[in-house]
Amino acid sequence: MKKKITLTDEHIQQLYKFTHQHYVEHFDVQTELVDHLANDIEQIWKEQPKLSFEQARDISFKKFGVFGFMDVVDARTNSLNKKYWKLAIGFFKTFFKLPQLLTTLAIFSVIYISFLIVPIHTWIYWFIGFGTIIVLGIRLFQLHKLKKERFKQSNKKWLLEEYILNAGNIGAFVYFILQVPLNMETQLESTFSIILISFFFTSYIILTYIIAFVLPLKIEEILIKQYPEYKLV
Amino acid sequence: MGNQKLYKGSLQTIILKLLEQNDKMYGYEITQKVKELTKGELKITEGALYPALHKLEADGLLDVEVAKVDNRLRKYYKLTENGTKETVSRLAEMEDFLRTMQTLVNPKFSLE
Repeated sequence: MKKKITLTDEHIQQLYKFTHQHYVEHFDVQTELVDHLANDIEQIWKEQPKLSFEQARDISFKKFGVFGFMDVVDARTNSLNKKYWKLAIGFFKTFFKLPQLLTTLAIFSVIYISFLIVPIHTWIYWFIGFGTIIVLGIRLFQLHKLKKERFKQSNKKWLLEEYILNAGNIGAFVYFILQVPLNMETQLESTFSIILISFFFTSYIILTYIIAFVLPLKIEEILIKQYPEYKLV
Repeated sequence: MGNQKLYKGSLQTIILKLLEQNDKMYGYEITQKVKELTKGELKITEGALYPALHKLEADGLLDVEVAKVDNRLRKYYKLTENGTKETVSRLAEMEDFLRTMQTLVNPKFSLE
């Protein structure tokens, strides 16, 4: 008897589960793998109709090599990491054009003047460092809650969504900021070095703001643009 | 197949070339097409194909489209404008490479 060639809805759901069992958490990555496995299983059935669904699936999975889906997941993670930073840098650039340039100049002026009037410059480092830690801490907590809510509602995780709601893992960068006053001479004498460090802190504050606020607020818009399938499911 | 290593560095160029000829393709279709064109001589492994596609997409050379086919979602890849330009230059590089290799492995042939 000839087996039906097309996979059923139930098979497709089983394949989603199968990719999840093999450490593919995100729906966007799962979808591509499920279609690939499904096509291959159908092809295998054409040649060997007697095989069960599970047998055909395992033959197909073996073709991914000893690391299974890991290579695919890694490549996808790398490419979306790139995408994430491209988005962040895109917004960052808008802060150097009018009207946002005015905000940038205001932040810069406040920092620059602080360096002129605060007698001990290390205080400024501590203030900016701890200030961003507190703001980011609160924001990450809110975003974590939002992530859980979104997952509860849709039952799907998207890789780029995870990046955005983890604030691009910027925590490590804040740690770097706090290392500066601990390891370097922070008392600045020349106007040039004050301008340079004020520019650095201005950029840091803007980038933190983009990552913690702008990108998460625009998450729907970004996901629709990145994933053509976002509205289909 | 022992000679698969020789093809490895050319995977991205092969994908670009296929997409240039076929407008849009999905992952499995690419593996099958290559198998068919090379009469089974070259089999693109799944673990290499998707990383290559994702890299090309991240570099802005490919764009994606998703459609519901049968009871599942299918992701199609197609060349972007940049991708089309890049294909031309990569194919030219490939031809240079092949000519050089031919000179090296078969000097007589190059004299003809």
